[in-house]
Amino acid sequence: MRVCILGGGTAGWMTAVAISKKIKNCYKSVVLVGSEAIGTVGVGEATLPHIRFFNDNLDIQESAFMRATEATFKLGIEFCDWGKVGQSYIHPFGDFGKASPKAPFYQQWLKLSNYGANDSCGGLGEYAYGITSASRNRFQLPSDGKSDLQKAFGYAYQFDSSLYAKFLRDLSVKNGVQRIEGKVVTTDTDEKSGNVNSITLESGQCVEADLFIDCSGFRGVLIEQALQSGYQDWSRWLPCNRAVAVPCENRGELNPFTRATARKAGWQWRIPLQHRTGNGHVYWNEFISDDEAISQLMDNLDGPALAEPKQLFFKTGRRNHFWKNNVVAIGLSAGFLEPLESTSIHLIQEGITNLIELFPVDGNTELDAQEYNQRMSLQYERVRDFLLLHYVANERDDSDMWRYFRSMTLPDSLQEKMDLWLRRGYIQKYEFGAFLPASWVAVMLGQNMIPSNYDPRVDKMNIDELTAHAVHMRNDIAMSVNAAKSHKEFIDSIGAASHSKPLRVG
Amino acid sequence: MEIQKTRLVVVGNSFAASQCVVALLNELPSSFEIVWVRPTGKAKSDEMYGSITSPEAYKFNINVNCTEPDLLLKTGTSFSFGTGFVEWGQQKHQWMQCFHLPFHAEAGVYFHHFMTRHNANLSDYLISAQAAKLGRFAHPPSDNPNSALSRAEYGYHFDPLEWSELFYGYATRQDVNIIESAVTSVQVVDGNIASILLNNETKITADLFIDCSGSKSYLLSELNGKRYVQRQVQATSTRQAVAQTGPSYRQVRGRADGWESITPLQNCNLHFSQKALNGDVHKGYRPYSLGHNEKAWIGNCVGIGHSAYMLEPVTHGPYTLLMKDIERLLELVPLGRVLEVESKEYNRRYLNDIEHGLLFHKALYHDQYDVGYSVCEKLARKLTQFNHRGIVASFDLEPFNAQDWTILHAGVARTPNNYDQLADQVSEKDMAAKLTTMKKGIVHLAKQMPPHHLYITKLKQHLRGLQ
Repeated sequence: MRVCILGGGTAGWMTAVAISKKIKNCYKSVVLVGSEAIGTVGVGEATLPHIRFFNDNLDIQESAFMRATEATFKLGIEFCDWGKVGQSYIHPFGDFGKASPKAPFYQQWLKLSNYGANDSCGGLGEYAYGITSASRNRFQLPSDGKSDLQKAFGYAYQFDSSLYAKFLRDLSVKNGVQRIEGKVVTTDTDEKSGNVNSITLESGQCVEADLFIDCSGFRGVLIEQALQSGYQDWSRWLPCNRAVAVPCENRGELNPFTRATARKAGWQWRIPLQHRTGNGHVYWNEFISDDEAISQLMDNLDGPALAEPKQLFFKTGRRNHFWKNNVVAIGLSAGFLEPLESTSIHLIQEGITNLIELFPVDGNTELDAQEYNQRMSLQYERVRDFLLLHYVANERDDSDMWRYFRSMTLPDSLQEKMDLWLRRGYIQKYEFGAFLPASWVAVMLGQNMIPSNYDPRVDKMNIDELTAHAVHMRNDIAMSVNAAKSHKEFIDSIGAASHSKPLRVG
Repeated sequence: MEIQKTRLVVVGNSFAASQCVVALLNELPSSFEIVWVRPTGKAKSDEMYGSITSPEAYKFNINVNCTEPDLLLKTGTSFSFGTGFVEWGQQKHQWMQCFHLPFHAEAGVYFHHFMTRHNANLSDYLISAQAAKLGRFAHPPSDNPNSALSRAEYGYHFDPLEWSELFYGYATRQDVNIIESAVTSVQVVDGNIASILLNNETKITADLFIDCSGSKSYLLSELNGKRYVQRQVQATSTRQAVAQTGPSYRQVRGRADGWESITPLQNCNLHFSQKALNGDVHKGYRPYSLGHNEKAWIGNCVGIGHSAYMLEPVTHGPYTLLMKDIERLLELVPLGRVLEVESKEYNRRYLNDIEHGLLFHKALYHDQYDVGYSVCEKLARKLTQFNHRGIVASFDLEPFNAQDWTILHAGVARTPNNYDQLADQVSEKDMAAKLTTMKKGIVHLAKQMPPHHLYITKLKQHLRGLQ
């Protein structure tokens, strides 16, 4: 099996390193065709905890990786002004409190807040180690926790994705991946099978392969331009269609969390790395001009900008086929969902994991493609619903965009979830998808969707016992966070600090 | 001021009713009033719950304060490592459909791929299968993860009638109003049950009626829901006394026109026979219609177990689906008179569970017996993906887990055309040696375990000593 990966961005190199490390016995050769002349989008610099499994599987040492990619730890995302202007909450990685056999902890907390015990029991966030730690800019590893609750959180990273791609490129090349510099000018497809036979580069070089992995970004050079997979347009639900990104100098403490601040026609991200802070404004051009969007972004930076703002254009949705004939699309060529919940790299990872499991055994890939497409479709759809939740679960009506969302007809799958939550704090569970019930709870409660009722099974528990139980949990977490190092100190202590100065780029 | 309680009225004298009532009593607070309308006559269809539970029974029972000592000392319950199928299908397949935690993985490759690569028999490497074959049993240790036995799971062999009585006893000790009376009529107004009239002239109203009347479906059937019938069968069950408890597995023997099972309880064997119903019902047999309602919750009435659907008891599916019914009901128990949100979600999950439970049964019959089951899209995905390259395609929250599916596929000799290529990164020679060692170790361990009957006898002596 000859494999050709088209695209030298994050998706391309993540795919290359994973294939070359994990399934070296399954292919004859792996080449990656990329062009320095084509800029990479540098999708989401923030990640989900799953990225750690990806790195672990590649035997990547955490501190070395962090130094090389200017990475910081991420305990969650702080959402500002989403529920209503002036409010914020953190969506953490991990659950809230300790469940009882009768019901999850958040149901107990709903009852406590119903009884007005909030003063003594605090907010739900105080029962999540990740939130308490993030809000105080502290960090320790889950394995350093001394109780179950102190261990019950996940963490991810915030890193420079172009440095990550470079880091993985070095590993891939060591693994035997051949890099070919060049831009594709023509694609040769087999008339009978519809398979891509080869791509020809500007230099005239022809690259043949049995399997092509399209990591060419939004253009989808192979999956769309050559094979015309077609695109499911989801912009009626997620209409933001442009973004402008700019790095700036760090200011203040180093936060172990990403921030997403709602704006009148979109939202702004802030991702603190060791050497700079990544910023971007995702917006719907229907309600704001590009100039205004840039201006809003530049007015809301922590420090001086380190580059000129970079404009991106996109349409939310996914390809009809992620895998068609002998082409598998991974990354932006497969689909685009705005990076509100840092899912871009996660979806790349899902694509790679599934491709490795379904890596073609012989020339007949139809069954593999079917399975791959089913799995990936579900992943994308479930992320879509979760992203849309942020836009519709709120009280904002202060701009045309927010009023648009208030009058939107939601996908049935999301409407049902919201109805059930509002009625009784019930979470519709699923097994396959990036976001577990705790994530849904975090966003819905965080954005003021307060259920009318809690699970009545909680009433089996005595209110005094519940309160005492809750106070104990809260203290347990608070004590541990008090003893933890600051985020920056922790990075230094494990040898992960890059000590680099902010560099002007671009 | 007296707070208005939410009244839940459970109707039926069935296995489902007893399980449901006790769960409601244990899980719900005093703001719920539980009424159990319990006719004298037992629901005949209880035999279609079968006689084997899944491993989840332990957790369900503990949640309702039913302990294992109670089951062993007060009923004839015995332990089960699974079901041994014999003479199944045209090829007379024989395998142990055992309970097991996720299989050992090697170099990140699922274990069953090595079975394909080494042309090996999966059950040789599963302690629950090997112990069951030898009729042995011991509790899996929770404090020794290095022991192969810690990967085994177990359920119970049980008699639904005995468990009904045991659970009835639990119920009577709690705050429940039990009315020993039959329903004579059901008054329906605007798609809801306004009241039921009992043969003692009592009129009962409720916020939610819970129909546990078995396949007669006294309440739910009054609401004119649509029912899908898969096929008609007839079944009979008998008990046969034994001097010594049988093995730690239930046996299912395939027949040209159906199947028979023998379930070893402590002092007797339960014999069950199911045949296709093509004409007259055989003497001693009862006719059953396998299928399900389009909706299990209509208006203010929810059907639990056989009143909403019936799956044949060839696996633990009927028991497992009943547990799922009760779990769903507890999570969505009414919070007032408006029930649309709850019923919609209940029915969504119910249909998924039924569909996924039936998938497993269809896979059991596929290419073995033609009972008229069609290959739906989901089943086609499961079969083709497994046959193609040993992929166990899965859907959300299925009642049968990936191990159940893998064991079933292997049992009916579905051998994938390819295995995971990553397996080839493990030296064939080293793996062969490892498999040999594993196999020997498992046989050795199984032989060291006590016979099922002896284990139960000793355990009961120990438990009585504690009392």
